Amino acid sequence: MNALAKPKVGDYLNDHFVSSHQKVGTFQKIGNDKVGGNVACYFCKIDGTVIHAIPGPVDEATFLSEARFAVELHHSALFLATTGNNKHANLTQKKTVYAKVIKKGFEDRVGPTVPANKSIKPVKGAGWQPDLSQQGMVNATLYQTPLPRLEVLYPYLWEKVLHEKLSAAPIAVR
Amino acid sequence: MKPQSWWKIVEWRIVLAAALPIWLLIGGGLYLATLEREKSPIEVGSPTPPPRLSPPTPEPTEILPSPRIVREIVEAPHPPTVEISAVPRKIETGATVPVLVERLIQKIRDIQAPPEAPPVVAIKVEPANPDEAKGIPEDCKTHGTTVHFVKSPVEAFKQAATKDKLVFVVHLAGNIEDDGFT
Repeated sequence: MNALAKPKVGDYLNDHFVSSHQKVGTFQKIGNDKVGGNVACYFCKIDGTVIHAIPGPVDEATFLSEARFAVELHHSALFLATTGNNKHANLTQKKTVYAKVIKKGFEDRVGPTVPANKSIKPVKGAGWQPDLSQQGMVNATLYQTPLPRLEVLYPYLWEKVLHEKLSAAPIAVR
Repeated sequence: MKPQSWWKIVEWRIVLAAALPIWLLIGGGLYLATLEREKSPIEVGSPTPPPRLSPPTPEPTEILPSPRIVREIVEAPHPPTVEISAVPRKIETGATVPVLVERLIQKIRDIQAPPEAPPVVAIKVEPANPDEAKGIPEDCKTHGTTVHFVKSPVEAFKQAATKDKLVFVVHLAGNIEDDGFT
């Protein structure tokens, strides 16, 4: 979370996003020691679908890179979905084009690391490739299933990628 | 020859004619002196309670007479009439009653005047929300970061729709203000 304290990160997020935060997990307090605690960031459209996500804490450069990727991918998809041949398309067709561009963006990003296994989906019980990093797992998921809804993606990312437990309690004291 | 009496030698008519202006001068002087004495010395009766300031009813002020004779009733020139009883016993001679009343009213006004205002001290007031001083929107908080967080994801989606922006959502375990928690 140190990245969110950096001025460049703040300026970029404040320019392109409306930000909010939510507690979804618990860290443990054993004596005076804090154990656990984690974070996940989501870049969403206003309809509640997730363009991109960052699992876990990252540094300033990584965060800015991922945030720019999300913004530029969104603008590219929006441009292609609303201009040219798609200018007079209906809303469903535009959404389809938009999703295809998002998928293509992740395909270019993950490259050959993306498993051919089509079972990688942000749903409970889906299989995962253990050799992928946390960010790689998220990229693969968003490549396989672009634009998942936030309420579908976040439990999966929190529990399967970050291996945290969802909880409404802020602190668990032992 | 019998000597004439001395009073027959004097021509009294001439003497009277000559003395008349002198007597007139003397009489006039005495009259003026009498008038002056009647105006100046005022003996006031026993001291009375402090002047009544509140009821501004135009009440005639009675000035007790000097031991001489004259009793005068003088109306105060201004509406807030004050009883003369607060006047000190000995009053400088030569001052007229309206002047004295004026002085009394002035003293009362001085008493009624508000105390001198305390010196103005510049106090630096810190805003209740320190985020306001940094140009952060009123409904946002930074939680120790440089990001402007609205209070909930629902509010963020609403605002993003109106501002034509995307939504950034942070899910966390722990306390966002503490780097060690996240």
